[in-house]
Amino acid sequence: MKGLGRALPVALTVGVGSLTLIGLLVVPALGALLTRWATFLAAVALLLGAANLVRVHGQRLADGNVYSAVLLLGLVGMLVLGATDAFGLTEGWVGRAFDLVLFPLEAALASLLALFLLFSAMGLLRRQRSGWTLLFLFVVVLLLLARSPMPEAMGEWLVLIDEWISALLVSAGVRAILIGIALGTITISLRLLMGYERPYER
Amino acid sequence: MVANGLPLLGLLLVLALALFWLTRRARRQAPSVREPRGSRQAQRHVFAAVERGHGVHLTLGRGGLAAAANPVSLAALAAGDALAVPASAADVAPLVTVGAGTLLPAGQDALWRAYRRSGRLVEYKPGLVQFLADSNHPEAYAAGISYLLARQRGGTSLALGRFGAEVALMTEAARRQRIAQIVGSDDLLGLAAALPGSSGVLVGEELFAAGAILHERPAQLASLQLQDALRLVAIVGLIAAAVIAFVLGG
Repeated sequence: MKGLGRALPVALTVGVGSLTLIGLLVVPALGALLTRWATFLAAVALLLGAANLVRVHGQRLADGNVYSAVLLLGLVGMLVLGATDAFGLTEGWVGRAFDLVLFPLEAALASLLALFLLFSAMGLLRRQRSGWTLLFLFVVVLLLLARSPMPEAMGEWLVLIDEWISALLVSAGVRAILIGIALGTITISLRLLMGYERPYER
Repeated sequence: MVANGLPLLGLLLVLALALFWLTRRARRQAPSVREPRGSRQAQRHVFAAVERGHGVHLTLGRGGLAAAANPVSLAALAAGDALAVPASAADVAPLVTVGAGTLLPAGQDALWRAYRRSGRLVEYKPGLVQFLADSNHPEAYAAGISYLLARQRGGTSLALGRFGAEVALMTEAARRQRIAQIVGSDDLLGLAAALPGSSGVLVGEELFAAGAILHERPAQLASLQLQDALRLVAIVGLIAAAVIAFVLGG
């Protein structure tokens, strides 16, 4: 019985994985059907995530965490708005709540990214004073200058350097990383399809 | 029925046979494979945190298992699985966070296995794995991690999986709390944003190799050998294509 318990998930993964691959490459309709099932499972998993969120923040609320109270209130509020939208009592209030609360907050955080990156770059210079760090910062400053308004004679040179770095060095590096990722993707997929990789096994 | 897919299917079959053969060989004698620096660096940081009695935080990104980011999330799970074992043996319980619903049960399983391997299964709690935000809201996810890191002092944070530019918010939070942070991602923007602020970066294929290096199982080491062989083929192919294009004037 224990052997069956171990073999069944492997057989299911190998079987469904191989069918999906064959479906995507040879029989698109089969591939699309299995991918739709996966999307449905992902939606169910999102519900699990919401339940986890309620559980974790419920415990924190019991410990007196105010932020968790705000989060749970927000969750209940959005559920109520979703229900009133669904029953036709209100129209598009979920979208409006997203537009008025979540998106401005996310935009504010995103706008801080540039600042954090600048601080990080300065911190890097303090932490690791190697030749590579200096080269990294030199190229960053050069590219920033090339994309800023500059006197014409100087600007032309900087634009040329910018184009050379972007077209040659950056593209080559990006392609090398992407090829590495593609090869990693192939091998990990093969491991999974052949039952060598078992993240589901207890 | 699509005939164009058949050659690709054939190629995958050949690669599967090659992996099967390499795995059989690796079972007889462990192969020597290259070791990218990042995996061992992450392991050292986890050991250091455990020895000092600090916490270990592992976040698995916001690429779900039912999306295109599936392979990188699986690679992150494989690496996280190995790194969670020493973390679960620490006095301070490790914390695992996810930014996609499908990663929640997978993360809970990985931590459960880690506790079982370290012989402390009674201490495992499902609440040690937390869902922070849906994958469509990267800033909310990063804000959630920043909040958790702000409550931790010292220790190690491992961010393995799919991360975009929002990773800069996480590295900044880790820096302020003096937490060593290792970031592994397949997202170029995320890698670029992580590089200046983190203690170490696992660039693309390094993340895919991390699980194999840390687990040292024959099939995983064999897949690393196959990956290296394919890389060699890609390099030779690229150089040959460039030479042919140069000679033909194209």
